[in-house]
This record gives sequence, structure tokens and C-alpha cells, in this order.
Amino acid sequence: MIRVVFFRLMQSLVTLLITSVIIFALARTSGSPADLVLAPEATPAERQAYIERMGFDRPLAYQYLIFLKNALQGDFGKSLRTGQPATRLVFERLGGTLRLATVALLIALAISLPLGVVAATQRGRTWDRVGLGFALLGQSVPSFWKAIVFVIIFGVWLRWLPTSGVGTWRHYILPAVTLGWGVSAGIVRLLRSGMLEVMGSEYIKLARAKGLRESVVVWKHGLRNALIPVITFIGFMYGIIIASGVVIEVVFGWPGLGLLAYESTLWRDFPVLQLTVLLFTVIVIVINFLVDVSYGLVDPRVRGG
Amino acid sequence: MAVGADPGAARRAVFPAAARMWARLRRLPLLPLAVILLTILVAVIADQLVPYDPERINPRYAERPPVPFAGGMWEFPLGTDRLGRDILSRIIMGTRISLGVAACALLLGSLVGTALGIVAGYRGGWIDVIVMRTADAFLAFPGILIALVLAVTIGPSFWVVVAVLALILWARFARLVRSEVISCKNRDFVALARVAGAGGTYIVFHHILPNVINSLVVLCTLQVGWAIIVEASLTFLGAGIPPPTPTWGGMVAEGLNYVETAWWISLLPGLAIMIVVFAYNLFGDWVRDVLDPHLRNI
Amino acid sequence: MGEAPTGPVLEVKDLRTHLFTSRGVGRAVDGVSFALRRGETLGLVGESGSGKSLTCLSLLRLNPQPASRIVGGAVLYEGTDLLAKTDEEMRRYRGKRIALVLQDPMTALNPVFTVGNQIFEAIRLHQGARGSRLRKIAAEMMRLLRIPDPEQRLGDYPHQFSGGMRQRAVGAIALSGKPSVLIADEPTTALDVTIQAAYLEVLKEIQRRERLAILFVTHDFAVVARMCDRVAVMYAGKIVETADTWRLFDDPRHPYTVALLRSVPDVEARIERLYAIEGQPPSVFEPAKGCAFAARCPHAEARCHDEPPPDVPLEGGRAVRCWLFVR
Repeated sequence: MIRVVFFRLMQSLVTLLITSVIIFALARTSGSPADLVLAPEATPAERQAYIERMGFDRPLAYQYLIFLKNALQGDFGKSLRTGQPATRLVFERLGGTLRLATVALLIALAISLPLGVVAATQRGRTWDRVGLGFALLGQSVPSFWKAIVFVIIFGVWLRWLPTSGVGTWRHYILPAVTLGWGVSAGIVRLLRSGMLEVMGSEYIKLARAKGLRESVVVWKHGLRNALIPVITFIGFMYGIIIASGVVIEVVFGWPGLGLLAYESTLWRDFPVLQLTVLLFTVIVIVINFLVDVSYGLVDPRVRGG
Repeated sequence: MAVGADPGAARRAVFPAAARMWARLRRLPLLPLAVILLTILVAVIADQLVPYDPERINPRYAERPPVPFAGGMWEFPLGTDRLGRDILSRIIMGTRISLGVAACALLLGSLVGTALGIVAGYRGGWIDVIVMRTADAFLAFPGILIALVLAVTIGPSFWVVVAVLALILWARFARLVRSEVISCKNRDFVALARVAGAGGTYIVFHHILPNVINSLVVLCTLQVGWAIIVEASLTFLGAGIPPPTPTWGGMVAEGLNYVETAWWISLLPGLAIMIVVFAYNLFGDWVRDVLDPHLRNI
Repeated sequence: MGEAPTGPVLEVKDLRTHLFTSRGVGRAVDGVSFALRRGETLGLVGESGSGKSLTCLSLLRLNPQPASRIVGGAVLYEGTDLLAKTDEEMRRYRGKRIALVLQDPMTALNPVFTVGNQIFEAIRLHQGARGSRLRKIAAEMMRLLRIPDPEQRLGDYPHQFSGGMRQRAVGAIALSGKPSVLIADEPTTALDVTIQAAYLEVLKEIQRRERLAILFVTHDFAVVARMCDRVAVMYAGKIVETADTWRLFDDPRHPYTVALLRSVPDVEARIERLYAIEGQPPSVFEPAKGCAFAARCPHAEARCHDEPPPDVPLEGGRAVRCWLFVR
């Protein structure tokens, strides 16, 4: 088990390194990186100082090492917009994104677990169609458009819910539901096909032959097994949440990392954008790591080996 | 039981495989197919089809709602945007961009992914390890954010979007193709060909590729919708196709701040995305069921 | 429950379970009748695909749905027809009065729950035991099936059990409801010969003690010889011959039984070599007009091909479904 954890940890570090290389490389694709990181009104002297500090006159590999050293020390430069250190701006927004993503994931699970199970047990009938339709809609409608339709219906027409900003729990509803729906689509499909497979297995036959209630057979013996692939999928789902989260934070004016990334793009605030992207990748990697390591909790077969 | 009375029973019994194929074909999703063919046609002849120049600004007719609503006029059946540009013309032109990006990205991604997948699967060893690890890294990648970075560093453009999509797509293709190649490599006909002295290239093109084609077609159709959505999202965020080119995602973004008064500016192009992606996803599911039922999980 | 010393505890009459697929209607179980008395073991033998397993599942109404449906017949448990029960009433018979042991012990236990948990479930349901008493009964059940260290092994997961031990755990689950009928669908096919012998020994011992009626499905005549009092031979969805075990081995009557026994070189060998019989059994989707075995039968006459043979009762309580015995 410790070996598995260690191996996964190494793998995560490699992925992180690859990401840093890519970001580093992207920063160099645009000609002089000094133009990206320094404000346009910087004096030639400032430019020269920066170029020397970052070693832009040195070979690329050396530049990358400097980049890594600064990154490890938490130095990602200053925001071009506000002049504050990029780290402070980014960490201010981290909580907002994690809160939204978590609420969205909970909503997604609350909707898709029952729907996926019922769709599989009612195969070909009404609830199956509802489940598949829900999933197909979630997959086929871009999240920004879902968000806008929700804003028009619940914010503009019905005036039930706030359509932007943060504050009360009511502010969570629209963004989290929009975000959760997209993720539910994947879970419903995965759970449905998983349940269909599991419900045909011998141990389900045995559970029924014991005389267990059908509800126990489905929700205990069936779901517990069909959940295994879903749980391994959670890391991947966080990726989806984060990707579509950018768009949703923009539509709902939710002060998270996604909105920050968007604003930084508009302002061409490269230091902040670069750190945001790195942090997003770290989040995805950490979650994937945790999911992999805790895999044994859901699947006892993995625990021993 | 009316076994004997069913005239189709005898035919089905004689050609069970053909009968099953036919049963699946009969469930052909006609409406999605019609939508797909129509959008492809529209994309190809978009410049002949548009009633107006989609980029022409006409402030006199700004913010006209679609026809059935008060203030709508037949000259602009789907209304106009804040600058008085005809929304119908812009949606028609946008079709070309959306499908064009998807087609280019899929072509690029599938070619690279298939090639690497075949090499990784057929050769195995360290090549396999390197290719698959890289693919995993790219799959874990926040593509939208990379696109934002690219938009800042080299500026947004059609080809940047294509590149970002292909960057993620190749990994999906490589994964699928690799697993297919590995399962196919160990089958008898490949072993026979090898015994008969066929070279690696020959085996790949004559024995392995034809067996992988089905899965490739399935994955392609299933990814069209995804590609269209990601392109629209990128453009929506300003990291995709830059204005004034009419794009669906860009149109939605332009209307975002005016949904309370001019809802149609955002709503109609979004509807276009939804219908097209819906059609491709339904069609893709069907193609998968017909060609390759064991691919349930892609 | 009340014993019925005279009548059979389970009586199956003309059971028909058909498959409903895109290929048409398949008559997989097509008029199966037999009776099972307390303390008796009835062997059900036949080639794979003859409908044995589906018959077993149909008795508990656990046949896969909607792919198959019981379309006719009766399953009488102590005189009451199970096919007429509601789903909820039927559920109360499962495990409590009629228990099932499945073929493959490797897949019959749920991999994500401990073996103990799965035994507890059955005991809680059928005996209403809770807490420490539950553990005690479960350990007793495992001891009954000769699973070593039952107290510790309750906390193990199925993958930590060997195949033979898993099958015993399945047996412990099946017997937790103190059923009067046990349906064992090829319980030893997946086990090694030595493990198989030990398992059968345990099963027999419990049967003697509890006066259990067992329907024992197998295609292994060595197991039949060891376990069964009577044997029913199944072919293409029908029982073609029923007889006491020793009579069947000494003097098989139905041409199919004769061929089947001849294809086993000696009783200790397993029946993998069935294809020694010329030809193939008919597809369930295209039932033969007459006797299903006629096409492969060396004694077939004209009417064998045209008319389905009746069930002919013979001396010693045996019966044969064959035109040769009709006078």
C-alpha cells in the first residue's frame, strides 16, 4: 500500500513538472517574456533588470531552472493590474472556487445517483428515458448557455434567485446547479451502464435468492458495486467542474479562480494567469491522487494487493 | 406462441446476424441525421446563403427582436444585435466556424493520436510507456486554461483553438487506438501474417488499421459535439475566435450583459449550439451501437 | 413449518419458461415436471443449454427478465402454487423455504462486502437475530459448513477466501434460512475434485440432519452417483427420463440417456466429452416438430419426427418420454 502511494506521488509530481514546462514554454512563444510580465509603462532600466534577474539572456534550460526556483519559493511575480504579489490575489480566490466546486459536486451526486440507479432498474421505461434525456441535455448544452437560460428564468422572469455575486446560500444555487448538471450527465451514464452490468451478475442473483427486498438488492448490493467506477471518475469530474467552472464563474460573477483567470486574460495579466493555471493543475492532480489512494476504501479487492 | 405465424421469423432465423444489423439500422435517428446533413450543407454554402453581410453594422435597426415579438420585422426574422447586425446571417456564418474548427481539430487530433496509438500499441516497451504517460498528462490538463494562456501569449485565433482542441483530442484517440491495436495484435490473422513474413508497415496498414477504423469512426462522431462546445466556450471567454468573425460562442458573450432586455442575442446562437451538439451526440450514440457495441464506455 | 410426510415438498408441473429475444421466442424450458420429497436428492442432468439452470431460476421466479418469462405450469410448494403468488409473497419463500446455491463461487459473493456481512444479512432476515447472537449464529453456520476459524473469517472479504471456502460460504448463506428445499445449480463444477468431494460430504451430512430436499443440477455423472437418490435427464427443455439412480445407471431406457452414459468412459470421469453423440441438440428457437432427439436417435421411426412423444410411466416409479415405450 505504501509503495502504491509512493508510486502515485511520483506520478503526480511528473504530471506537475510537465505542466510547468508547458506553461514555461507558452510564456516563451510570444517573443520576449519581459513584455508579458512587465507593465507596458516599465522603463528600459526596469526591463533590463528583470531580464537579468530571470536570466532571459541565458540558455532556455537555465531559464526554466530559475522559473522553478522562484516557483518553489512562491515567487510568481506581481500582478500587472494591481501590483500585488500574484500569490496573494490567487489564494484569495481559491476558497471561492473550491466551495462552489464542492457544492456543485454534492448537487450532482444528489441528482445523479438516484437517477442513474432508477434509469438502470427501469431500463427502457419512463425513468430510463428521463435519466438519459437529462444526461444528454447536460452533455449537449454548453454550460454558459445553461447559465444564461437559468438567469433569464429564475433571475429575470421569476425573480427568485440572485444571478450574480456571493453572499447568502441563495447565491450558490444557480451556479452550483448549472455546474452540477454538466457533471451529472457523466455520472448518470456511467452509473446506468455500471448498474446494468452489476445487476446481471451472480451475486445479485444470490442476494435475491436469499429473499432480500428488491430495494436492498438494488441500493445495497447493486449500487455499492456500480459506485466504484463512479468514484474513480470523481477526480476526472473535478477536472470538468474546473473547466466549465471558469465559464460559470464568469456568467455569475462568482469571485473564484476561474473569474480571476478570465479577468487576467482581459487585462493580459500574465503573472496572475500563469499562477492560476498552475494552481488549477495542482488541484486536479491532488484530487486525483487522493482518489487513487482512497480507492481501497471502496474496493476491498485493491486493499490487500 | 405465434412463432410460426410470424412471416419474418423464418428469414430472421436464416440470417440472424443480418437481421440484427437491420434491427439496429431501423432505429436510425432520422431527425439528428437531418440536422447534421443540413448544418454541413449550411456550413459549406454559408456565404451564398446569408441574407446580409454578417459583419455589416446597421445602427438604425439595432436590437430588433425576432419576428413573433413586438418590434420584430420580416427583414430580420431572428432579430438583430446591439449593432444592428442580422442574427440569422451571423448564425449561418457561425455554423461554418463551429463545424470548421471541429473538423480541423478532429482531423489533426485523430491523425496524430492514431499514429501514436498504433506505434505505442504495436511496438510496446518504452515507446508505449512514454506515449501513454504523456497522453495521461494531457488528459488531466485544464484545456480551457491553456487556451486562456495562449490567448494572452500569442493572441486568440482560429488555429490556436484548433491546436488546443487537438492537444486534448490526440490523447483520447491514442488511448483508444492503442488498446484496440493490442487486442488485435495477438489475434490469429496477425500472427499468421507475421509468420508469412509480412513486414510491420504492411501488417499495420492491411490488418490492424481496418480493424481499428470502426472505433475511430465512433470516437470521431462522439467527439464532434464536445469539440463544438469547447470551441464555443473558448470564444465565449474571449480566448477563441476573435471578433468580428461571427461565432456562436462569441454571439452569446456579446448578449450576456443585455439578457434582461435583449435576450435573443444570447439565446438564439446558444440554441443553435444545443441543437447541433444534441444531433451529433444522438447520432454518435447510434453509430456506436451499430458499429461497435462494446465501446459502451467511451 | 409443518411437514408433509406423504406428499412431495416441491412439485413442478409442466413448467414452461420461454426466452423472448430479437431472434424470436425460444422454448428453453418446455414442460418440465418432477416431484421432490423431504430428505431426497433429485439429480437434474443434461448437456449445457438443455435448460437446467433456467429451470432452477424459474422455481424461485428469478429467471432473467424481461429476456425470459414463465409462460405456463405450476410450482407447488407444500401444495401452494408459487407462480400464483405476488412478488412480495414470493420473496418470503426465497431463502426461507427454498434456497439456491449457484454454480460459480468466484462470482456468487458480493466482492465489496465481508463474507460475514453477507451471512448476517440472511440470518437477520430469516431468524430475526441481532447483535452478538447474530455473530454467534453466523459462526455456527460457518462451522456447520466446516469453514475453519469462523470467528475470524467472518471479517474477511470474498477475495480472501479460496474457491472451495467461498462455495461453503454460499452454502452457509443458503442454509441460514433453514430451508426445506435446496436448489444447487452445479455447485461443484468450478471446484477441484478433492475440494468437490469434501464439499459434497458436508452437504450430505447436513441433508441427513435437516431432512433437506435437494435438487442437484450437474452434468457430472460421478457426482450424480455420489449424491442423488433419483435422476432426471433433461434434453432440449424437457425431462426425457426419470428413474432411481441405480436403475438409471444399470438400465437406461431413453436412447438419449443411453448415449449420454455411453459417452462417459467410466463413472469417475467428467462429462466433458458429450460430443461423442452424433449431431447437435436443436436450437431452442426452432423446436423440432416431433421428438427433439429424433434427429440424433439411432432408433428413430417416422412418428418420432412428426409427433412429440408422451411421458410413459414404467415399472419402479420411473418414466420415459419416448415413442419406443408406447404400446
